[in-house]
Amino acid sequence: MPIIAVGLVTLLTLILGTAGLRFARTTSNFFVASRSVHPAWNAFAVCGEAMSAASFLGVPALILVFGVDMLWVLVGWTIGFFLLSLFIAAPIRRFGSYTIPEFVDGRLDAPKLRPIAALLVIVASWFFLLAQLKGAGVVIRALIGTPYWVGVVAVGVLVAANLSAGGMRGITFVQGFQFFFIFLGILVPFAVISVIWLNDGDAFDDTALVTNDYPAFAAEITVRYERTITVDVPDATLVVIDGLVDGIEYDARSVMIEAGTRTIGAGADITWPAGAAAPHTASVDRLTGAEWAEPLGDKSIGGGHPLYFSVAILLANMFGIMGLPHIVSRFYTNPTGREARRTNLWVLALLTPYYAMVPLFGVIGRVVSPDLLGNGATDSATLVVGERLLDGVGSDLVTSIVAAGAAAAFLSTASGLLIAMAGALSHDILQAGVPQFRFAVWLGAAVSISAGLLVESFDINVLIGWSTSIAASSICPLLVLGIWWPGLTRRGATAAAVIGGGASTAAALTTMFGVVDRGWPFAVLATPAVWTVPLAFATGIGVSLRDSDKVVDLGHKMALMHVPERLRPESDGPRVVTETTVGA
Amino acid sequence: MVLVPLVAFAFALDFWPSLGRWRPLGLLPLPWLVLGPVVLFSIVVLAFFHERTALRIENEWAEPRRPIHRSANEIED
Repeated sequence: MPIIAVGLVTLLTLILGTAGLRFARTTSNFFVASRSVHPAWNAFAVCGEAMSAASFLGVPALILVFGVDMLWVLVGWTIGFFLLSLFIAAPIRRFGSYTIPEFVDGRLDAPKLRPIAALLVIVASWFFLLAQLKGAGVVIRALIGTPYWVGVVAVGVLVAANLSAGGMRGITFVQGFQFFFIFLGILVPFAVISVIWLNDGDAFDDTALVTNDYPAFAAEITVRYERTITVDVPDATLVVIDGLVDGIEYDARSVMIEAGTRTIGAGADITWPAGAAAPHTASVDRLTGAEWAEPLGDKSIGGGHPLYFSVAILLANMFGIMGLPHIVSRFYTNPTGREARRTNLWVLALLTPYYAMVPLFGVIGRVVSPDLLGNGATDSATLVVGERLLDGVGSDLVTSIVAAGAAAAFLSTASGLLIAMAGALSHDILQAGVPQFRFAVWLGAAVSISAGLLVESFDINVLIGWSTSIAASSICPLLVLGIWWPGLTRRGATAAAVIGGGASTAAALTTMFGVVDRGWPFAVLATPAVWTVPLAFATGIGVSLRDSDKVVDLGHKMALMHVPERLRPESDGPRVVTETTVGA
Repeated sequence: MVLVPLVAFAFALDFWPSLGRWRPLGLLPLPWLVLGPVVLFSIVVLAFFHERTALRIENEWAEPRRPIHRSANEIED
């Protein structure tokens, strides 16, 4: 039944995306949906993008493993959307560009900066897209048991086909509808699980969440290890192993597995008895219920630097949302700046209940599916919680609703990311029209699918963290300074983008390749926004102050961004970009 | 307005860990409530008031500007 639900979402995505083909004739249609999207519908589409695999699958996984400290992620995102309202949504819409690099070029008269900004858009969006493809691979595998690559390739191709047909106009319809699937995919299981938790004291042992006990299996369970993984086994336990452990092949034999670090081969099945302490991925600390429930503990996220990590996570996500291209570009589709701001108010009103519900899946997941702590499948926590708590049709129904929501989440966000990447490549680097946009969509999809096959071992939110750090340290300073500080010059903006973007990308790659994995160097490089965001802002301001080459026509540009449309003279409309028309 | 109390909360927990174990509503400790529904919905309320203020300012600017004129009595007051 779950796969039917995913199939329905996919079919609807294709039908609505193809319907957009009728409207997709001009550059304006393709990039900004002719700037005619109603605030409410645009808010649904923004939510469709914001409710990504990162929040649907990644946040419950983080909470399951690390506990309360991970709530900073959701707080950071929510503040980020509020800051978008305050500083960016309305002015950037009023300026009238199609893409962020075009805004940078128009605001600073800096054609040489445009490809640099486009490159940053592509890099930030690419890491985010990899997380969505990872989510697709995990969900499809969990539902029908296909290899990881099937979900990655299927979703990549589907999204590219949809985008190349309908562009932004088509995808706005699709994302609006997908929002409802995502929201229901969380709301329905949240309600069911809450009712069970509040009414059935025997459903699971919730006291384990806050006691000094380590997670343990409540009943006998057979755990599948999809990929080779190193785990810490807390106690010597009599288990049944079918597969490879520590280089020895077992054929469904009872074995006493000793306490300590063990390497379990891909495809192994291990049956753990009821009451056994749950093994834990060796790369993260094992937490008791109390350590997990309380913030800023010695063993919580950050390996001994929890306060730094908490502040870093907050800042990265907050400033990251302000610079994420696929989010910012949705505000171009509103008719006016005022409606862009109103869209964002709707977004906050819809996102907040969703963000308040999502942590429950990590909380309950820790009790009912502690096997996820050891088999590297924490990203599927949202999917399995309902299945573990319910039986029969109820289980199938709830899992189907969650699966449909998860599919909508990664399809919708992947669409927004690919359109941001393709827009930057075709409109800002190639400076071409719709045919090149379609080429850029397929090129971006091909590169992302190839890389998506290699990130199976990365947590979704690790990839998201890199993306938000890069966006926060490069695109966000360009937008905030460009909109609010008349003193920003071409050299200042270029220096801010290169230094901030370069430092955060280098930090992401350093942690990606495992150059450091513990202590302060790891803390500083794994969540670099604490120093890269101030560095980028300081660089932009410092270089601009010493630069005598000021931007011309500055008063007009600032007025364009900050004076509401209805107060402007008719002749002072948005910046017009040459339309490119394709044949029918 | 949002960030300062939150960072202060993080620092308070760092120096006063027992705050993190206080459970005002039964099972859920204080930090789960603060970082969950309390902060999230507070931000929506702030955003609502921001939007209202922004609209009011826009409307004020949209009205025809009255000439600045004060009477001699007002100046004396």
